[in-house]
Amino acid sequence: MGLKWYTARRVAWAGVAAFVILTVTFVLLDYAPDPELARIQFRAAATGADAETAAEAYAERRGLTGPLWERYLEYLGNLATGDWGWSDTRSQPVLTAILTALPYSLMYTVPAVALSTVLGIAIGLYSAFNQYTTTDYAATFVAFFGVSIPNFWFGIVLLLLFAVQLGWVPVLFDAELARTRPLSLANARQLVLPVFVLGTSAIASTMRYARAEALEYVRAAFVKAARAKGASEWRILTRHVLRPTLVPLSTILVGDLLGIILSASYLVEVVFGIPGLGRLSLEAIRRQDTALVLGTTLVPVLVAVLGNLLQDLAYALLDPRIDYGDR
Amino acid sequence: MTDPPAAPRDSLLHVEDLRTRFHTDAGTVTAVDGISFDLDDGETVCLVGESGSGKTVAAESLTRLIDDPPGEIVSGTVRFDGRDLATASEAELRAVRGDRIAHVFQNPQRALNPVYSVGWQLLEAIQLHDDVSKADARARAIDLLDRVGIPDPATRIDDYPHELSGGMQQRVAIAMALAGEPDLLVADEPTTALDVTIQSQVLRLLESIQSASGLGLLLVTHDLGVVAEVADRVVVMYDGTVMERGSVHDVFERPSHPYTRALLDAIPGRDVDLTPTAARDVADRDPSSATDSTTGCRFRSRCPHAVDACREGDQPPLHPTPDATTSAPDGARAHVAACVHFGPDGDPDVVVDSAKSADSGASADESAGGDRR
Ligand code: SF4
Repeated sequence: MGLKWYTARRVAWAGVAAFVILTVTFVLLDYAPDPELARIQFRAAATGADAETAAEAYAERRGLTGPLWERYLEYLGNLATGDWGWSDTRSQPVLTAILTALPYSLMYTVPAVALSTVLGIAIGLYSAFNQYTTTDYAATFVAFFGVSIPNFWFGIVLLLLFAVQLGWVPVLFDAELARTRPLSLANARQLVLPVFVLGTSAIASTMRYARAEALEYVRAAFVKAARAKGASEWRILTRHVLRPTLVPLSTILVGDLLGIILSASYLVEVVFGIPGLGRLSLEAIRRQDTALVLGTTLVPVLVAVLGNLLQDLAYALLDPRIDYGDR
Repeated sequence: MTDPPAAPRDSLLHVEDLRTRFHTDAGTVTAVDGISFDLDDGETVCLVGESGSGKTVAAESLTRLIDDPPGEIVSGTVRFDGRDLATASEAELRAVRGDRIAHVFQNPQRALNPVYSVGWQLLEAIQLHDDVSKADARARAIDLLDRVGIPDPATRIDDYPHELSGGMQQRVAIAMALAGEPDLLVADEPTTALDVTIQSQVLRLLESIQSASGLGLLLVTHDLGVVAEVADRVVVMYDGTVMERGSVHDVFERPSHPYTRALLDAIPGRDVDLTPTAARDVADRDPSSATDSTTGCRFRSRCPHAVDACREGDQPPLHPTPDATTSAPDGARAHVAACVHFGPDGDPDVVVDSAKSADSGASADESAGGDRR
């Protein structure tokens, strides 16, 4: 049983998972109350027309007639061709709404994830190597601080301090600026705080895991053996400890980061006024725009499926001991 | 320490009054408390002792492999090739480790990094000290594997440690140690973690390597059978100090220190396994009984020949035994024992002659072989 077969099976599983999620989404969509339909029926009744006829006409227009399996196939086909439904509250296709919001979310999540992963692992390893020193204690303190501090509160405090009091960064997020000049310094300035807030919580959890995992290895016999070979401390850290640490870390990282980002992005986007996916989803929920709610949840869910797939593959590549037959 | 005069300049390794401490939550433990010994080119010296005797810490203190903190070499010299490794800089140590002094550890499964192939780890050992191309290093690695008796080395080099048996893993570890063509090989219980059938093979391999390349071998072991087989000279350790030191012939034929005698008497004609008698790990030792607070001879509570003088002062210094002058006259190689009965006012016969009486057998049983009943 080799790596190829293992990869093929993991990909197949990811496919199955995605399929199940899409099906659940469809069922939810089918049974969810439709405020637009209710509105049409109400209007029809108010003007003396037959509410049932109006509802049927509406269903016809939306393609909501026919047996369930037929609509299901159509739904899958639509999804595949980019037709994710119609957002009534925004009067635009769901996919368009998502694609408009997504770049704003990526603008601060991607740097936050990259920074927190690299720094989190680095600080975690350093802490493990210097266990019980002042730096280790300081790092542990920062980690607990980052984990326990509420994101929205931290964001508000930072805004008050750096935007309102010191005026170093703008208070209001300028979406127009972000859209037209995403790589400008001005855009970087308005993204610093969101990245920092999101990064603090992500960095803290990565660091804690990295430290705990690395601690298992810093006193390992093979580390001593590497030292006996004449390897430098830097080499020991980056080769002998980092690699085995990454194995369990890779299984934690994806899920953990996704969780933090998905939950935090709602709050961060509301606090900083970023018109990203989190806010789009929040608005959709508040205004009962079912199609848009499901569309916006589909994105992170699919990202999670993909992330888990990547994580399984990373695990297999990092640890030669993995038994492909068992998984 | 009134050790014999300093060793002649030519000895490869000269350890003097080496003292290593561990600062633990429960207090400070002196794991190695002022040991001295010498090792020459091409010589095999066995460091013998129970677990907890400090022999492993002593071996790892030579190139300062002990974890620091909590470990710390407090005093003493480790003169190797004209340099004092106990005070050398990290960079100097790195140049010596693996290149001049190599280590083989007890558990090969743990001493090999599980996520790298055998070849990767061998190449690392080669390229750390020798600026050679990857292809050359690989050729040398295959050659090394061949030398330590790994069949089909060109294929096995790409294996991962978990794909090899324990015996093969230890051979790989030995190959890794030989990569830098060291002058001194420190092997810490290299056969203990292996199957009994494999143990003698690995021991024989070490012997043949030693005689072929003429390197010095410091073998740390608890197994007196191994000592009898390979040692030129023996250093018997107990509770962090050297109890007896001498040529393998002297120590086995005329064991002098009561502790050594107990070890040898306990199991006549059999391999001696000292481990279970007093398996006290350095780490879980009760700090109140730690070496720092003891006075007098450390073996006192278990010694059948203890007298009042044994309570006084520190551990008795290493006194020459009566046969010292005849067997090996020069200081570092003399047969010496740390017991008051061998001192200027003592009478060695108190210890040596009692072997003929019946009660020493019983007392030895009690002190060293009690668990065997
Ligand atoms: S010094 Fe005393 S207690 Fe120690 S070994 Fe000699 S006789 Fe025994």
